[in-house]
Amino acid sequence: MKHTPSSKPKAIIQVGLVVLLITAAATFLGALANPPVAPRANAVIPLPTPTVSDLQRNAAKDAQALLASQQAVTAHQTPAPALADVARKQPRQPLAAAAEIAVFQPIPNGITAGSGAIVQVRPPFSNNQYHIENAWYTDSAGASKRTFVFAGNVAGPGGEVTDQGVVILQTLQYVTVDGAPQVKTLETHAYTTTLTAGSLHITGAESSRLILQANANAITYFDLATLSFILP
Amino acid sequence: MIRPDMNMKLNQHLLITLGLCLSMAATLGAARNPLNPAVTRYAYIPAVSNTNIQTFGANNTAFTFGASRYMSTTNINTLKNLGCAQGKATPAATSTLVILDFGQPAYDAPTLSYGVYIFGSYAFRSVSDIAAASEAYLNQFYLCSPAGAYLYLVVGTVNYGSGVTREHGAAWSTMINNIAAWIVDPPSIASKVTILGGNDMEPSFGGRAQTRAWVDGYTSVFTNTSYLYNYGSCDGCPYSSCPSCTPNNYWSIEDVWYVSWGALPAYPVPEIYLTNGVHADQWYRMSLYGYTNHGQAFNFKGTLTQWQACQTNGPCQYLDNTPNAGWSQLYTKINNDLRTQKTLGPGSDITWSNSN
Repeated sequence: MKHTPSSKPKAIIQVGLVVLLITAAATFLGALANPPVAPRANAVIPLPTPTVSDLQRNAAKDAQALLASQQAVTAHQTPAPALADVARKQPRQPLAAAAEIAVFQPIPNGITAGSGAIVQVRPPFSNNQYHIENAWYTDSAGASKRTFVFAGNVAGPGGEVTDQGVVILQTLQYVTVDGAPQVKTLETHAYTTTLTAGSLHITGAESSRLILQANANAITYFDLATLSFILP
Repeated sequence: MIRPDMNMKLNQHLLITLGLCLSMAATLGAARNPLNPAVTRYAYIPAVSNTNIQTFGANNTAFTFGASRYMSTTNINTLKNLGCAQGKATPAATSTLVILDFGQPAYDAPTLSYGVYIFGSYAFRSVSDIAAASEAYLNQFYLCSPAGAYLYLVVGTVNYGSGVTREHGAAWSTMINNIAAWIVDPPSIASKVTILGGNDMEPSFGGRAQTRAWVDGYTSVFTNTSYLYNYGSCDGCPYSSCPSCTPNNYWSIEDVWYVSWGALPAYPVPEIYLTNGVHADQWYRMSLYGYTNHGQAFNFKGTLTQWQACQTNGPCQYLDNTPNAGWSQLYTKINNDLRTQKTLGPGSDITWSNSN
């Protein structure tokens, strides 16, 4: 067969394309046959040899799971008593029923500071949000209203401790709901320091100003009248 | 040398071969994906209209998000009202998880009794007061809920303060055992309710040694029914942007694992507050730690969000996951890895309100 001069390069290009396609296909098939060896998220990795206590606990947890699933089934099969009978089923009597009064009592172990006291109480915030070092409180309106100031730092993105100081003002009031006294939150507001000098700690109070000490020993004030930080 | 018609045929063959390879790869990939069967098995129903029902467990038990509460009272009538409200809010044939957090551990020397300082007033309440309040809640849930409704009630405290001791842990566990005994006392209400102990264990709240001692005290009188749910945080724990982070306050990852799973009664119901998924990532990594270091991943008994609390006591920038979002974040995270793949218990959302 004769070839014209112009058809030769075309044939070479076609052959080249075919070779490229075959190479690509071979690479693809090869990759299928030999998947990457880099660790995959779902790879089941070999376990270290569990200790005897690990094995015992794991078996106990497995037994608990089995028991829980059995209980879930049997719970629904348990004969349900008549509602009238259950209505007569009385809870035990509380010891502190008489203590439910609509005024705040002093918090134990408070250290008097200014018109209030410094206390260590469980803050009403998760450590995912704020890390609270301590608090100061004062009562007003015949002890039916309580103002808290919590001091600490703003938590980082994973709940880490940060240098961003914060005070949080919270106002609570006793209200009566269904004939029973209850504590209602009137306001919660956070104030962050302009300088990131570390977590804040309340050390005292002068009139309406709280004295705050940062981790870096810097002293600052928080003025309750103007709700602002004041440098000494 | 290739003729044009041959060239076309070859191209067709190559295309067919490639197509076959691709379809084979797809088939192989599907067969090798270990998640496929489980995804089907554990599929949950997304929020259905306004009922917010999802499912959990191997039997795909339906659940509705429960209203957990920070408690500032132990008033019996208040607790009765709250229990009844939760009963009415729980649809027939669904389960719900409710945590009643009564505050920080305390010991009252004059009455020689263990208890808590409740929120708000920080007044002392004994374990007897808390048991009575919890029983009132349980009783009214039974009376007000429809047939087939089921309540997991967690009565909790926290690892904050000097009252976190081994003795307090034992007293708390005894209280839970007593409530469990009251539930089955005739007339038994066990067909609709169960009781569990709880603790909001957060590294920054208290020392690792005191917290472990509290858990050990709880375990010392554990009766294989009064489980302990840790509904705390993993503050400072590793996550994708900080894989070498360690828990705050000198805790180790082993400490978090121990109080959440390692102790025999312990199970995690983690706070999944952050909208960007970091908390779900932290707890997935904790579960993976359990798998790789102790041979067992976590069985998460549920999730806790604070969407309601943020509505009244905010601001909670980026920390106000809805209950559905928090639950879905953790579910997705643990089920994207064969090693941590598990069912996930019901979600619950906490509020500061002690009224309906």
